[in-house]
Amino acid sequence: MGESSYVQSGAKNSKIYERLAAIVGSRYVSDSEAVLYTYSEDFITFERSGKADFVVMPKTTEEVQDIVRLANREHIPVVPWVANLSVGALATPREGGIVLDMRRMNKVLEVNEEDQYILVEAGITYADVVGYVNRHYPHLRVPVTYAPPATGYVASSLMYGMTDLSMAYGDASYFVNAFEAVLPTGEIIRTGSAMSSPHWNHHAALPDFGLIGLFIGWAGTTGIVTKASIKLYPKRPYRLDYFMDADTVERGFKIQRELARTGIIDDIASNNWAWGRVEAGEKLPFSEGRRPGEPELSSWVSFTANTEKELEAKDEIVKSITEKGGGKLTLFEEGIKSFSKGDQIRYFKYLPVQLSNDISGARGGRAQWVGGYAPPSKNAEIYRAVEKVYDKYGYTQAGHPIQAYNRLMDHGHEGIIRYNIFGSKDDSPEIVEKHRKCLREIGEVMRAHGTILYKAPPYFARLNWLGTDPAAMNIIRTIKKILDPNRIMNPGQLDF
Amino acid sequence: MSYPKTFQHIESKLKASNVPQQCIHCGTCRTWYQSQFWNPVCPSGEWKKFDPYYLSGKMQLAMGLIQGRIKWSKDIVNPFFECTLCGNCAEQCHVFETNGTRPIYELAIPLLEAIRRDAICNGFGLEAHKRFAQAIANKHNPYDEKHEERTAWLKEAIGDTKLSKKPDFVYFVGCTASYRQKNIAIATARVFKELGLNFTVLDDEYCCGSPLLRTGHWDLVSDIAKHNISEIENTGAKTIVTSCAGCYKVWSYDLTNEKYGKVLGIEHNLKVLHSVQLLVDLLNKGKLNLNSKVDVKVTYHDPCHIGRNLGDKALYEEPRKLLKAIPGVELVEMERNRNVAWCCGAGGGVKSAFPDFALWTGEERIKEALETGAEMLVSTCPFCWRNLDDSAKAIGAKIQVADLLELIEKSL
Ligand SMILES: Cc1cc2nc3c(=O)[nH]c(=O)nc-3n(C[C@H](O)[C@H](O)[C@H](O)COP(=O)(O)OP(=O)(O)OC[C@H]3O[C@@H](n4cnc5c(N)ncnc54)[C@H](O)[C@@H]3O)c2cc1C
Ligand code: SF4
Ligand code: SF4
Repeated sequence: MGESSYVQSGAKNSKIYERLAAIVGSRYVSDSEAVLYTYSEDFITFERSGKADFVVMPKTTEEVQDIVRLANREHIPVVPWVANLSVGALATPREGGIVLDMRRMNKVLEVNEEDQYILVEAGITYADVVGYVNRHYPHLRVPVTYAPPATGYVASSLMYGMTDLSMAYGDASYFVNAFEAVLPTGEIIRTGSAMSSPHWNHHAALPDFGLIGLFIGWAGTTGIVTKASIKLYPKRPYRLDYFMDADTVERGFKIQRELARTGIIDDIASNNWAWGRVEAGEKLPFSEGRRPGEPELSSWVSFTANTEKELEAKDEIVKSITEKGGGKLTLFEEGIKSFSKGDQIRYFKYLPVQLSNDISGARGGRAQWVGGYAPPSKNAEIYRAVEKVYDKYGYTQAGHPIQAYNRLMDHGHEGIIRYNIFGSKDDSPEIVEKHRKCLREIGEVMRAHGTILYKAPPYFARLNWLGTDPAAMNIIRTIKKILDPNRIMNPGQLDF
Repeated sequence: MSYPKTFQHIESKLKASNVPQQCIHCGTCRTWYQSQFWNPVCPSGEWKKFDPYYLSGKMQLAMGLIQGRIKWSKDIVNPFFECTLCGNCAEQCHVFETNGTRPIYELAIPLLEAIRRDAICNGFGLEAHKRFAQAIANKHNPYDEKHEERTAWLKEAIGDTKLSKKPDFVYFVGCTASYRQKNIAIATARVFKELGLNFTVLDDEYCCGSPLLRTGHWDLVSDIAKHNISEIENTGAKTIVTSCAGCYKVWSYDLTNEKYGKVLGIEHNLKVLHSVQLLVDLLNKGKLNLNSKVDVKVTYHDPCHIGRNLGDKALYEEPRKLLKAIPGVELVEMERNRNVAWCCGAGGGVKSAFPDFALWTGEERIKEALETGAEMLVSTCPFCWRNLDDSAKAIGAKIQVADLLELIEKSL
């Protein structure tokens, strides 16, 4: 290992800059203050900002390899970045280094209609991919999340995203067939079927799950995915969307689970009453608590069909289960009439969408949520426990009551639930600290109820590790050490 | 946290609707929101790629400046100026208030302009802009051309015909049509003459102030605007007609009280029309007869300054109505049209300070125009004309750039 010429902060490091420029061309490397500043924070959460030393935009896998080799030699952190919109600041460069903005790697390399997958470069955004498929393959459907259009399509799969087809097929990691990735030492690896076949059609290969798990959920700490094959689905011509309201979360979650088991639903997501109000356009703090008749949980239920008859049959099942469970269905088009004039909610059916009010309920443009994969049967219990945390910190009393969102997936086998706190970019350090404390306590309560926290910034990642089986932890640490011996990949995240 | 003085005219609005705080860097402002193909909309971001060149990054920098977390430097200035101020980003942002208003849509461009002004006040202007501001101060046009030659095109346009002494309106020509795209001034004056309209042109017209307003050199605007107002008033006319989108925006929008009028101390009660409005009105009244056939397949480029920059007062339909009224003209639309039209690339001081960026942006537009199969790209702004024509030539595109008034002239 040669002596490191890397200077982390302050003076610009022209030697490294020049070497990066030699790899990607000077146009695509920057150490300008303006560029470094915007990549230093996510501009959303209460997470602390980091500091980028260089931002580099590679175009090819070979360029990524060269950058990583340089970084590995010089022990410079490398942080893969697409939009840093995980609401956990997972692409904030916490220990400085090179931010690898992946967005020039945004090509669609193949659409295989027969085997139903799309092979893309890893910097492609939802806007890119949905636009491309709509233009060239309008009969195909890309699973999409509620994240904004500028977010990473592959990044979402790497982060266990929840999509509009996730009830039917599982979270976004289940849509991955195969990756090409550059390891922190510079070698290229192919996973899934692509590791031992020229085809990119399947996730399983020699060891089960074809090593795609080396990258999913690791928040860029094991290498840089450069290509991904992701499943596509036929766009069915008939679709129905309902709001399914329930007077209590207990009832609402139960109906969700029953609907899930029918195997006919594409997507179920829900907001509790308070987050629902925010999405419909109301501003925090609320002047009144839950109004008489206001459902405690409002779920979004979406299903599709190949024929009108099939849709009718599915509709009948959905209606019957909801009615028996004591819920109330309202057609999407009817439901949105009661929302305020803002049109974000109106596009709910037409993903990707801009849900900035999700973040900006108090109109301060700052929020953070803590969430994770909980046993679906525990959702209501967790909700009641978390509600008490909002009370304890005085949020409920101040008109910022519990904000909950859940997504049930894979026919009810898995699901996420998350809780949100809204703040403002003008919040004082004391207020920010209070938000952080409350979120941490929510995380602890969720962990105590068996939730595995997802998209977890360092504190929450540590909560996960604390309860992780030592043998499993040992393997995780060993894998990390083998893949990234110099700890250059996104250091400071996950905090093993 | 403090707002710079240059935010004075928008500070209360920014505070009331928490801008830029409400921006969450979601990047929705990069692509055509909810369109089928999610086409890119931001020339600055697509050109430079790095985050601060999109509105999302500019908002983040603005917040950093307001909060005092960053200070002006050459680096910080660049993203704010390497931007055409086309407003396509703001158009896509659907951050909304409970009453349905969209604060970032409304405030993004005024904010970006006020930030540029603040940069200038802190000594961080761009050389190219300083040069044209100086030229405007000295010779009343940004091209540093002789003021006395401003109306040299007039003879070619109308020969020895005398302009009206008691005009119904003043044709406010603007600098680009006076000195560079004389073809547009000539066509416009000929059309007016042919239609028997009672108009005049100012002997002593100054720059409208658009390049100054856009680039933060506001200090000169008041004097030149007052000069122009007084010149116009001296003719007795209460109406001005422009053939330039930039001039139109200044007169009809920027120089109103609620925009820059108050802060710059400018007031006028003139009726402002773009030539397309005047002509559509005549068409509707049966006073514009377009009889000669002009067999050509055209596509229309909406200039930002008479398009989305004007909000609900945008002139999208007038030019199209005129084009459709010309016998033989077949109008085909580019994918990005009207409020999401891709910028021509010239505006916001970009053409002078970042000529490569201007050309690249124009070339993108030319390629989009070529995709329609059109033989001619028509617009209604001399500055768009200039950059689109330069761009077409740069890539050897087989498409003719023309002003709508040139087509009208042929069809009369
Ligand atoms: C308003 C809003 C609503 C949202 N709703 C949803 C929702 O409904 N469902 C959902 O799933 N998500 C949702 N999200 C968040 C969403 O998780 C993220 O936006 C997305 O998953 C990640 O994309 P990104 O571009 O932000 O990734 P980034 O934050 O840039 O990256 C995420 C992580 O992956 C790493 N990474 C990125 N690219 C690579 C690569 N090529 N190789 C290795 N590592 C890489 C990064 O280092 C980082 O650790 C929402 C976000 C917002 C702001
Ligand atoms: S300006 Fe609007 S669309 Fe753009 S990043 Fe900010 S909130 Fe999102
Ligand atoms: S004004 Fe135009 S060029 Fe500037 S950031 Fe907005 S869309 Fe991009």
